[in-house]
Amino acid sequence: MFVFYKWAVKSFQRNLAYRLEYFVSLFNALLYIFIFTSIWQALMPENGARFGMTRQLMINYAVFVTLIKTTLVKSRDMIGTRVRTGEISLDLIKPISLPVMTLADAVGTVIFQIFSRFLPLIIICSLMFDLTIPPGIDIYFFISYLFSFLIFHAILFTFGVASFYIVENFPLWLLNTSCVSLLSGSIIPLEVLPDIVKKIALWTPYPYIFYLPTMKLLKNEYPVDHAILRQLFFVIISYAIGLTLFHFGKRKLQVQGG
Amino acid sequence: MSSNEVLIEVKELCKEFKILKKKPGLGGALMSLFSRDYQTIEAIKDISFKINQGEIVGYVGPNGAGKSTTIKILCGILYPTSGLIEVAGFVPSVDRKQFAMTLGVMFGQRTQLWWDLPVSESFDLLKSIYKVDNARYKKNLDFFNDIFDIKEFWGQPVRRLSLGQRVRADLAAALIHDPNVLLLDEPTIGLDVLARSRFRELIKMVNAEKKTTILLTSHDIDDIELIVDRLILIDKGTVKYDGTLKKFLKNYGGQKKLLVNYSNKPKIGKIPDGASVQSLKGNILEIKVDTAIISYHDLIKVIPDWGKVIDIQLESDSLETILSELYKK
Ligand SMILES: Nc1ncnc2c1ncn2[C@@H]1O[C@H](COP(=O)(O)OP(=O)(O)O)[C@@H](O)[C@H]1O
Ligand SMILES: [Mg+2]
Repeated sequence: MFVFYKWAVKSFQRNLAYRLEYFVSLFNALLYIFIFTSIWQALMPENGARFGMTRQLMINYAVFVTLIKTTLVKSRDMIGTRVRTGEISLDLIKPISLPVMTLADAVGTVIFQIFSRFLPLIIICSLMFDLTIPPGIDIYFFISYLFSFLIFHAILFTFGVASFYIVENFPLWLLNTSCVSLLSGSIIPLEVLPDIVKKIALWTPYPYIFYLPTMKLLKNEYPVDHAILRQLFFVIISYAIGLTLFHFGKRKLQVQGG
Repeated sequence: MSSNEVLIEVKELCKEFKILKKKPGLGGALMSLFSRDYQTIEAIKDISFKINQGEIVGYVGPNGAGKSTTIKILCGILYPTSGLIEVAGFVPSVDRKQFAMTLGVMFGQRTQLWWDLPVSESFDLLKSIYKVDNARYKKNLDFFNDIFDIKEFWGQPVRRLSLGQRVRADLAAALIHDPNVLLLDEPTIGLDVLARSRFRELIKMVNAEKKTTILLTSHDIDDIELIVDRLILIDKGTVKYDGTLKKFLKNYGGQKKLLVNYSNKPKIGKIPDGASVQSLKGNILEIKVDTAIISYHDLIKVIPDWGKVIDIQLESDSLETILSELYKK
């Protein structure tokens, strides 16, 4: 447990080393917010609703989903890269299991991002838009956020471990990135998608990453029934798949080079 | 020196890699989307050896012989296709996590330190990972600092270290938890002459002080000649020689030469069996000797008959020539 904490702290420190990446990501998030709020401004009717959402709600969605995204996203394929370079060897000689290692890494990164990205961005955004404190900040939101983090970590882990089977896991990684963009609500809320796509999406773990906690935050109600239970279900399923792949993948792993 | 407790045992080890056969051209690339042809490479065919506690063993062989593959299997990174492996009482691939506590590894081309953290922070993390208590941590750091001089770059991020410094830091990192077994795969690669000879001393010192069992692969023959007591030579996944370095040199160092410097051009008489004149350049006579047939003792008796001897020099093939001859076969 103490190792986990130490590892997370070091991961936090390591993030400090990349100053350029930090400023670029901050700028990137602002750009995103700016573009999407402008789009919704133009697209949404001034009064009434479209896609079952008001203009103000849509604009707030764009702002808050981006803010949540900046805390969670670190969509580098760490495992796949280390498998291809052979550095994975050095992870496997340590007396910690790879899933725990990557989880500790992610915890450190997320805490870093909450302080270094979320806080400055929310200050900037509250100056730019007249944001009100969202109604849905409560314990349920934080539970949802925690589950979002876990589902996201489990998914990235799973697609990373795919490189134990297919060294060139990049196409799979790309597929995952597309699913995140389209189905997770990270860019547009699920309301905008055709009904059938939305229905299917709810059977995948993706909407439970960004869409669910953002909607909860903005409306103070979940867009689906038993939302937290569903999230928990996908936390368990995603880890079950990832860990099973990892367990059998260890035998398949072929580390190249010296 | 070495007690007789077997620490590493490898028995009939075999490791196959399945690789995708690439078909040529665009058509081939498209074809392989649908039908995948696998080819099996036997990286290790049949390797067995035992290493006792406290030994330093050199693991040599030409490129592609299977050295790195063996090391990775011994670490528990790769699973053997068949065969038995036991290191320090563990089966590496099965008991990977517990086994890791008694294992130190260093791959010359890579670092296990965190690239973007200062060396000190990496060590701090390793300390908790390997559950090294404060007293032992301090004692080990002092020891490494005495011989590795790690304080010199203690506060610097790893990415800013010179290669020599990084290798020293990595060796210290591999040893911070007092492992029983130290596996080194090409640890001196890329180092300059000075850093290499320093590295060799460190290894010997660690073995002497901590009784660490060491298995080392290297392309630098001097590493082998100056560090190890015992040599395991492998080629194409099988063991070609396993024994002391001395015996190896004696058995395979067939070519021995005597260089005799005379004061005048010698008048060569009858040459005894087992010896033959290789060249005569000015006053220097070069004689090839097969010590299985004639002893130096007998040969040296005849040499003064041919002229007045100023100097006699004995030359035998270096480990390097012997190995490169063997690799060619
Ligand atoms: N991941 C891998 N996939 C396929 N073949 C491999 C892999 N790793 C090693 N090999 C093959 O196994 C053989 C032994 O390699 P290796 O153990 O790295 O040799 P050495 O370290 O002695 O130079 C080589 O023929 C190499 O091409
Ligand atoms: Mg090698």
